[in-house]
Amino acid sequence: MARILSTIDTSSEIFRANSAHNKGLAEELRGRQQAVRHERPQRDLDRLARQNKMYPRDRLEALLDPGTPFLEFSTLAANMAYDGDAPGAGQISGIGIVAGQEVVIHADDSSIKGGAWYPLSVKKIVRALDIAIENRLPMIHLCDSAGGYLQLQRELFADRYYAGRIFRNQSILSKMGVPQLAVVLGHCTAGGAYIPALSDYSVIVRGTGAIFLGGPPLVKAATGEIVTVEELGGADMHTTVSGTADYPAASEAHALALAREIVGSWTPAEKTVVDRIAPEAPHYDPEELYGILPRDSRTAFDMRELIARIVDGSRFHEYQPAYGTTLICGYARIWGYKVGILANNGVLFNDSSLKGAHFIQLCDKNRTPLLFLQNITGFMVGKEYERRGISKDGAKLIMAVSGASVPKFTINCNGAFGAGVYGMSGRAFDPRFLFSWPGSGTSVMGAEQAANVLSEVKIRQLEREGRTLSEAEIAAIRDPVLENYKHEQSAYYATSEIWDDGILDPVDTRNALGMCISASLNAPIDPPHYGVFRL
Amino acid sequence: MQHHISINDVPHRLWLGRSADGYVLHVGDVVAPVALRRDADGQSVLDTGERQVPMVVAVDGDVIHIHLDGEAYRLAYTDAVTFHAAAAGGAAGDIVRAPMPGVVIASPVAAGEDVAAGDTLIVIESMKLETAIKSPRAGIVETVFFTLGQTFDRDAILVKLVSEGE
Repeated sequence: MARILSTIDTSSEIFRANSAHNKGLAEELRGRQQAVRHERPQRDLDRLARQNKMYPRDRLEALLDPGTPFLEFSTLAANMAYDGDAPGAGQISGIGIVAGQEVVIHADDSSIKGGAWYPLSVKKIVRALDIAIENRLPMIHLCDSAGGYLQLQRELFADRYYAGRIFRNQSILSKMGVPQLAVVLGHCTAGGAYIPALSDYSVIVRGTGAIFLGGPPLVKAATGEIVTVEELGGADMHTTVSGTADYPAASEAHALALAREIVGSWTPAEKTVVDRIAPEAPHYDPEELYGILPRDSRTAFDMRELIARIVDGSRFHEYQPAYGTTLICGYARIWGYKVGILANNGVLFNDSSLKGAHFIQLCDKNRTPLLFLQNITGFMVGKEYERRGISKDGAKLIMAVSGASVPKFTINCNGAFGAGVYGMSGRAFDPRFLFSWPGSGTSVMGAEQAANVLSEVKIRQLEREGRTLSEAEIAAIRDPVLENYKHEQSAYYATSEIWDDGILDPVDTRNALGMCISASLNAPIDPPHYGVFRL
Repeated sequence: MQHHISINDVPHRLWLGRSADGYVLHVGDVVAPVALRRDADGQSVLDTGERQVPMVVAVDGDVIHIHLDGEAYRLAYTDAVTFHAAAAGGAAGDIVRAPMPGVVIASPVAAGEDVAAGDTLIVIESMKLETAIKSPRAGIVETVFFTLGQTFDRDAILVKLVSEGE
């Protein structure tokens, strides 16, 4: 496979300015992740110490195999919600290696509001379980939660994808024959009690771990019965009397050692075989990604330059290089795994949509996972394109993306705007994993277009009432819309709402994808089958 | 979570991981490739990349004896579950319950007595079967709840040990 020939001048003014800008964004990302992971008010740390509990990140370290990578999801979930009161939505989730096996881990972060479940905490746990189901990965729950955050119950209890979905997903995972282990390190009250109860295996720590439908205060209020935590749902009661938990542990460290031994007893899954050869590092330095990404996301650039800094040996076999050139399609390898890449080099036209739909079907027949590199501003609009059937050609691309059986992975490299996102495997299209880069944005249309459209509508309406608007009045309508859109289309907003699985430093993308592809192969790949393509 | 190994009775924590090329030893912040090979004479050679050291290894149950660089070392491995259970004062709790309904036929210990793990705390008869109830850990007896000839139900608390840390 031929190497991509880069035409980037790494000594140019633009490259250096881009590089400084994007390194700054990566620096900011690392700072914010560091704060979520490790910075807590002293009183919260003191409280954990008083309760004889480990810091949640230390629990994770004790659980994982030393020296192995942990791919954390949605570290910055809820960073723009709840006045910043729930960093990471009070949850840690990710894929790690325990006793040599790939597992999904979900851990309540009891250093934040006692591990209470906010609406976004529930969304993050449900997503972790979805990842386990879609990729047939075993799952470990580290339970230590005060329960649902009652002030916001209407956003976390009753709906289809709210808290009940956690327990439904646990049951489905078990039904699929994928093992699950709960380690009860704190209280599991009310709904939380079902996490260990629905896990195939459970370990509970004596003295701090407890499982009950209603805690002692609730029991007293309901029936007048006065009972201690240990009597009601402690380790000894559940492991000797009720059988709700399997193994009593004398300490958190003991519990985590037991957890590792239990995971070690699970038979590893047979991985789906796909085309893989020995990996090769990219020929071009991934650090150069910083210099290629523009400072202003509206500046066009060649996505081949990004591909060259992500894939093995910077080698790329381009499919239909002369047709539908605004969508680059082709084969490459990441950590030795063959992937089919679709990357936007401009707006989607009829021909680029058809090319994409065709290429997806080729990859599906060929059992080749798909990687979507998004830099999309939408499908082309206008009389000419509607007459050529841009809507039905776009529909073909969406039909192909939705129907593909091979695992899909999506990176928002720069922008994901408008219906083009559907054609490029946005969140709704179930890519196994979706990550954003720090400078990227996503919304139904760009901030400027949205502000123009909305102010235009308002101006027309006022004109019909016989009023004309001054420049200042137009700005007063336009500017708040622009501000609002800019705020809500940032990568930080997207990740706060868990529209992605996290923000990646661009240079980490190759490693993250390697782990994602490996994880995805725990699940079998269905034979190709599709709906009706409108021809 | 790391392995717990004592070398000549001094505890060490380490991890043996893997890389594309073979084993990697993690000790503290040090990460070093290691390999144990055999030379043409069948002699074991420890290869740390920088040094190749001949060594003799003898395995005696759970203990490994190593002769290396003119020194003898005694290695003992404790699996993580056992190590942390012991570190936390044993996995077992303070309360000993009746596994089935029955009657007390012997009561060899009294409150305040020291017991070792495995000592008989009380002997019961149930379903024509005599069962010696053993202490789950070393400790001090706090209370024996039933006397000779008394009957009890399943899950009744027979004996309580003084809680650790009290």
